[in-house]
Order: sequence, then structure tokens, then C-alpha cells
Amino acid sequence: MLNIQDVTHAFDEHTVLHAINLTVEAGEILCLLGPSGCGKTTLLRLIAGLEQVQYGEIIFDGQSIVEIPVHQRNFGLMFQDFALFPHLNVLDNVLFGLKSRRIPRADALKRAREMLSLVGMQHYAARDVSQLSGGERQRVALARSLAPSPRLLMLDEPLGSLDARLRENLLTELRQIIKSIGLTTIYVTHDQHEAYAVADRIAVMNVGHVEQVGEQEAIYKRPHTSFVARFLGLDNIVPVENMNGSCVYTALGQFEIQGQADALLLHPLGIHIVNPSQDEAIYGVVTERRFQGERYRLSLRHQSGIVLIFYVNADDTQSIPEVGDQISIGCKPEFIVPLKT
Amino acid sequence: MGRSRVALKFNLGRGVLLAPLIFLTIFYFYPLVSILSVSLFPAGRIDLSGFSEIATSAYYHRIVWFTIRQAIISTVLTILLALPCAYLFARYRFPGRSILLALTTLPFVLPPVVVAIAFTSLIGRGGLLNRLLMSQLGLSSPPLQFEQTFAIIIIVHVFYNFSIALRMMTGFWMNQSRRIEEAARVMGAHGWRLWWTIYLPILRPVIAASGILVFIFTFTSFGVILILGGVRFATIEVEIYRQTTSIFNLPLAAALSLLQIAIMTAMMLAYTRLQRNLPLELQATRHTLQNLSTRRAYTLIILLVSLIAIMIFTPLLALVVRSFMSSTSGTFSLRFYKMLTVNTRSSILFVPPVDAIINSVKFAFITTLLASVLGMMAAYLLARRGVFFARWIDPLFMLPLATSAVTLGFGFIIALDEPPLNLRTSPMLIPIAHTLVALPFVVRSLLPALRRIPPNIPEAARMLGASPVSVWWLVELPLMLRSLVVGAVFAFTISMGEFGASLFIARPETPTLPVAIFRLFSRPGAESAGQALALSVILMGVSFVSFLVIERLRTPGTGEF
Repeated sequence: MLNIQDVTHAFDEHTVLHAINLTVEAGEILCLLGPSGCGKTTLLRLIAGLEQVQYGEIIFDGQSIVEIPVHQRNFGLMFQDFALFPHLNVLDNVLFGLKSRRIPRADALKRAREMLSLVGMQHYAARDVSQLSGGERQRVALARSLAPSPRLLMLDEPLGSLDARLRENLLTELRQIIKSIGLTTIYVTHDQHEAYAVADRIAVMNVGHVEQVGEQEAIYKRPHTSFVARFLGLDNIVPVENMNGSCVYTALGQFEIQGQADALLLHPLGIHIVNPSQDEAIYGVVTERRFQGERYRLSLRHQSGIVLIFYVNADDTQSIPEVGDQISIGCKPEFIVPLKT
Repeated sequence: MGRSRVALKFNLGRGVLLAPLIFLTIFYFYPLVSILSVSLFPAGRIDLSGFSEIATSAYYHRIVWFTIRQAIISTVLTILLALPCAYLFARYRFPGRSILLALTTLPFVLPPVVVAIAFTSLIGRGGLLNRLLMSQLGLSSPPLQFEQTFAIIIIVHVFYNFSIALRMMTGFWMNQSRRIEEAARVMGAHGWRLWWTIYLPILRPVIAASGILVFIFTFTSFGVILILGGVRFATIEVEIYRQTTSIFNLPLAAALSLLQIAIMTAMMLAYTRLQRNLPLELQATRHTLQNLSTRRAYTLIILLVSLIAIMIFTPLLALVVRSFMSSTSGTFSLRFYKMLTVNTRSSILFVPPVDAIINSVKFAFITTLLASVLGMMAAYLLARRGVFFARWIDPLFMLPLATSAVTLGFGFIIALDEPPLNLRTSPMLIPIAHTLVALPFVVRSLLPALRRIPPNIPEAARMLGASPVSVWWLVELPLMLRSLVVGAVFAFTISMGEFGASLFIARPETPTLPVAIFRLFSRPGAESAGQALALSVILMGVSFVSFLVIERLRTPGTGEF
């Protein structure tokens, strides 16, 4: 559906996107996930046409769109701060795109009211946008983007300016609404949990590069790079000191892996407490023990100084180690993930 | 490999935005260059006789000295008067405070012709005050002899500029932290010491900025001096007019213009430097105002209110009263107004005075349209980020503000009445001159409004399928509408009251309202003086309505200077 090929972009000699290649399938919700300044918003603006493509190609439906002016692309974009028109009321905001496309008044009204119902704002049609709360604005902005039936919907941190609880509620609803229409969607966020909840697939971006594309579970379980691992909160990263065939040597000992690696991730999901006599056991001192409800989060410091995080279910029949305890842990081989830097 | 697309396309939409620059080039810079060439090369080769005449003749020394002297005295008096008033406005809450502060803007929109005649109606030979004194004291001749004196010129200048200084100082003072003052009080400073060691040093930037502005305005004073100063007094500005119209010494007039332009440019540079240190947003950190508590504060406020009322309203009231008074008996009469449609045989105008009103309204509408359109384009040109020369063209649009009206009119006369651009007989000449004067106000009103629109609002409209024109019409224009109306009303008012340039370029058969007032007023005889009074009242009414609209629509902290 949407094909981004070799797109490179610079602002004043400062390159913000490096040869981006990305595909979005029809009806799919793709999440661009990355820290602020990683270029995800710029990429969105290039697809929207709000920035002129400098280098590369963007194909939509088999056709290059880089020369098509913004207003003729029929894409929808929902801004982080919603950008509702302050001089128009709720209904007129939603009608705006329909009028621009010269849809007859009666049809446009019907469509606008439908969209307001879809987002649960049908009773707010005559309200001034300044009278709306953050969550209400978000709904109106969504209705406004959806009304002209865009061929592609883009959402730029659509929940960024809302408080945590509201976010949680809107998140599920947002996915349901988009999926009920079957829209091809690009969703930009810096919050992994938002991405997990909304996306079909996630593209993790860092300083102008797409680091990894995949479904949420695949990305979380097998990150390809140290950046992706760290960004997802996986900090059990051990530098590789030496490699010999499939055998890698690290400060924690030696591990067997497939392929090349600059570092290893000992995924918290694979770490469990083992008997000290076991071959691959890693010894250390418990330095932190944090109760998190359904589980405990434990930090173990190895004598090399490397700290490993892992979790123990709170309902575990064994006793949970205390801070200061000397214990040994092991990691299942499928959770030893080779990382590139 | 992908394709590179770093080609810069010339966009027609962007090209249109250059129109205001082209307008400035033809109608501002070209006349200015013409003045330069007439003063330096009067006969095709370099000839500095105009300058040497100014440098050697005692007559011109007197004029230059008078111009500087009256400007300095006017400025100092204005500041001295505005300072204590600003203290009260910045500090105390009292009934009518905001209305009073708003009313002080009124003089600023009043045309100099109207103000000059209003003061004559009050303290002139036949003015209300003299009539009153004569009837009460049984005198046979008017006791107040203000007409054609230095004093009346200074009084009118203070009347004019008091409000500018007051507004700037009040705004600045309200934004200052009061900590320093409180610290000084704790350490025992009070009374004069407090003024000398704390207030004045704190206010120094705004005193300097408002002082320079008042100096600029009074240095180039024209209408007031021409009407009230008679033949005895002439500023450089008035002398340029006389040299051009009665003596036809164009090289000398051009030399005087050049001298004035040089002084004004230096002043304007100093002003913009100072202005950079002044906070323009007045709503930033406002203190709470104090309630009146002491008897002394009460007395001061009552004094202040009466002072402003006397300064602003008595001359205007006197003007209205005089216009309804039959000159002989002093009873109520509509005679002067009825005479406006009559083209009296002895009249200096070739047309009935009412035609001047119609001319002025026509010119004002064209000016409003031109200034709004060009001002809108200029605002977009200046607001566009990344235009490398935006920083340089911003002051460019302010330049006409620093150029005196007479210089503009004079420039038009010598530049636009011969090929390649002969517009001497074009009815567009006056609206074009007025547009130059009004453009800075329109741009200053629109630019902040345009900059306040978040960039993603028009972007959202584009995403929703609006073409560039629709984005402007449906989104940006409605969001700027208030500021556009303020700018347009400013342009209309400026055009209605503009005097200096119009006096040069108005055709005898199509006088503007202020020109007609001046011609009628400078003619002896009660009838033409009466017509001038009636016309002045009408012009004052127009200005007053504009003032109300501007005050009502203006958003705080924007579009002043």
C-alpha cells in the first residue's frame, strides 16, 4: 500500500532521516516507535506532504506521491495538540474536510454526525472547541480526520497531551474505531505500551534510522540492537569480549549463540533462580528487591559489576530472595539474544 | 538508488508576496532617491550650493535651531508630565482607570489640523476662554495672547504626545518587579530619594525610548506649526513646504529634506535599539494594583483625572461649541454646517466644502483597501521563517513611519510628475501616499496576529483538503480578522486626517478634508473660519468613532509601536 524507499532528509545540513525503507500494508496499523528527535515526526510529515521529499521515493497504491500537493493526497493527519480550528465549533471542525472535498451539504452533515457518533461526541456538535476537555478534543480531532474517508490515516502522538488514566481508556477505543473502518494507519509514539496496545506492527526508530520492524512480541522478545533492547527497558546487556565460532566470551562467562553479536541480552523473561551447582549458573548479590504487585523485580550484581534484572512471580512457592542474599541464576538459551550495536 | 529532489521551485503564490516590496521601491525609495539627486545634482552635476546656503545663512540656522529647541522642550515637558501620571496608573486601582487610560489614546488618532483648530477655539484670540474672560472681567480686548506664540506650539505638542509617553511608561512600569523598590523602602528610602535612586533608574530605558519617539514626532511637526505658528515660526518641515510651494527653490528644499532624513534615521535607529529592551507583551507579569488608601493618593488621583480631562477634553469641547456658535451674537446656530454645501464666491476652494468630505472618504476607502492588501502580503512575507532577508526587510516596512509626511509629499512631487512615472494628475496619488503612511500600522497590527497562529492549524486545514487559497480564506483570515479590522480602521483614520503629504499633492479641485480645513482657516473672514470649524468637528467625529472601534477590538499588548 505505502512504500517508503530510500528516503533521506536533512534540515540545514543536519540529516534527520537516513535512507529509510518501510512498507505499510493495506488495513494495517503500523506504529513508529522511538524517542523524541528520532525523526519519526519528520517521516510522518514527509508522507503527509507537509515537508518536501529531498531524496528518495514514496509510493502509495503503486503511484509516486511526492509531487502531489498536500491537499490533494486525501490523507488524514491527527496532530499531537489536535490543531482544532479555534474559530469553528465542533460540527464545523468535522465538516471542514468534507466541504473542502465539495461533498453536498446534506451528505456532509450526515457523514459528520456519523463520525461524531462514532467517537461518542454526537451531543457536542454545537460546542465551541475551547469548551472541550483534552479527551473530548482528541475525539473531535479523530472524527475530523476520519470524516473525509482518508486513504491513509496518520496519528502523531495522539495521546501525548492527555493524562495517564484517560490515555488508557482511549487507547483501546482508538484501535477499535480504526479497525472497525479498516483504515491503513501510521501511528507515531514514544511510548512502547501505547505501541503494544494499538499496533499490528511496530517500527522502532533511532536517530534517523529504522532499527527494527516487526510484531510487538517478536520485537520485545528478540530485539536486534542494543538501542531497541534499552528502549524497551531491557537493560541486561553484556558486552561480548571475544568470539570463537558460535561460542562467545563475556564477563559473565561463555554462551552459545547463532550468528554474530556485539553484545548479548540476557532477557529477563528467561532468567530464573537455579541451583548454584549448575554449569551455566551466574553468581551474584541481590542489590534491590522491588514489589510490583503480581511479581517481584530483583536486581542481581555480578562480581564484574554487571547488574541483571529479573522477575519472580509473587505467588512463587519458594521464598523470594532478600537484599544481600548470595544467589545464582540461569538464562534459558532461547532468551540469550545476540545484539548489534 | 533514489532520486534527488533539492530543486527550488519559484512559486507564484510566494512571488505575489513581493508586491509590498515593489510598492515600497516605487513609491518610497524612488522619491527618496529623487530628493537625493535633486539636492546633490540639481543641474545634472554635483552642486552643493543648497547645503552651503543652509550652512552659512543665519536664516536657516534659526530654523534648524528652532526645530531642535521646540522638540527638546516639548519632549522634556511631555515626559515630566507623563511620569507622575504613569506612577498613578501603574500603581493604583481607581474608578474609571481603564477608561481614562483608553481615552488618552484619543489625541493620537486626531489629525493635527483638528487639534490646532481646537486649541485656537479654546485659547485663541476669539476663543472661548478669551470670550469668557472678556465678558466676566469687562475687558475690551482679549487678555490671552497665545496665537502664533512659542507657548501654544509647545502646549499642543504636549497634548499630542502625552498619551504616547504615558502608555509606554505605564506598560513598562507595570511589568517591573516591585522587589527592588520594597528593598529600598525597607532600607529607609522614601519620597524624593525613592524617585531619584529607584524609580528613575528602573524607568531609564522607557524614558529614553518614549523620549526619542516624542522627539521624532515633534521634530517633524508640520500641521501644528503651519497653522498655529503663523509666519513667525518654521520647523525644517515647514520650510521645505515654503521653499517648494512659494519660492520654488527645489534644490534647497531637497537639501533640507536630506538633512531631516539623516537626523530622523539616526533617531529611529536609536529608538529601535532601545525598543528591543522593552517588553512588548504587556500581560506578562502584572502586579495587582493597590486600592486608594491614603488621603494623599486620593488627592493625586483627583488631580490626575482633572488634568487629563482638562488637557484632552476642553480643547475638543471648545471646538464643538465654537462650531455651533454664530460668530457675532454667540448664540446656538447651525449656520457653519449649512454653509458647507455652498461654494461661496470669496472661497479659496474651487468646490463646496462638502466635496472635500466626499473626496477624503473616497481616498480613505482606497487607502484602506490598498494598505490592507499590501499589509497582509507584507505580514506573510515577514512571518515566513527561513526567508533569509526577513530580518532585513522588517525595519524596511517601518521606515515610512520615520519619514515625515512632507518629505514624502515633496518626494512625490519631484519624482512622480515626470517620465518614467507621471502620476501628477492621477487621482491615485493621494491614496498611494496615505498607504505609505498607513502601511506600518497595518503590518504592526497583523504581524503579531499571524505569528500567533500555531503552524499546525493551517497544516491541519491542508491535510483536510483545503487548497492554499482556502486555507487563507477559511482559517487564517478568520483568525486574524480582529487585527485586520484594527489595521484597516487605522489606515482609514490616517488617510482621513493626513495633512502634510496631501497638502503637497492634492489637486486644487480635489482637496482632502484636512487640506480644505487648512485653506479655509488660513483665510481671513468669519465665514471660512466657521466652515473650517464645522469641517473639523466632522473630522473629529470620524476619528473618535475609529478610536472607539480600535479600542474595542485591540488585543492587549499588541500593535502599538
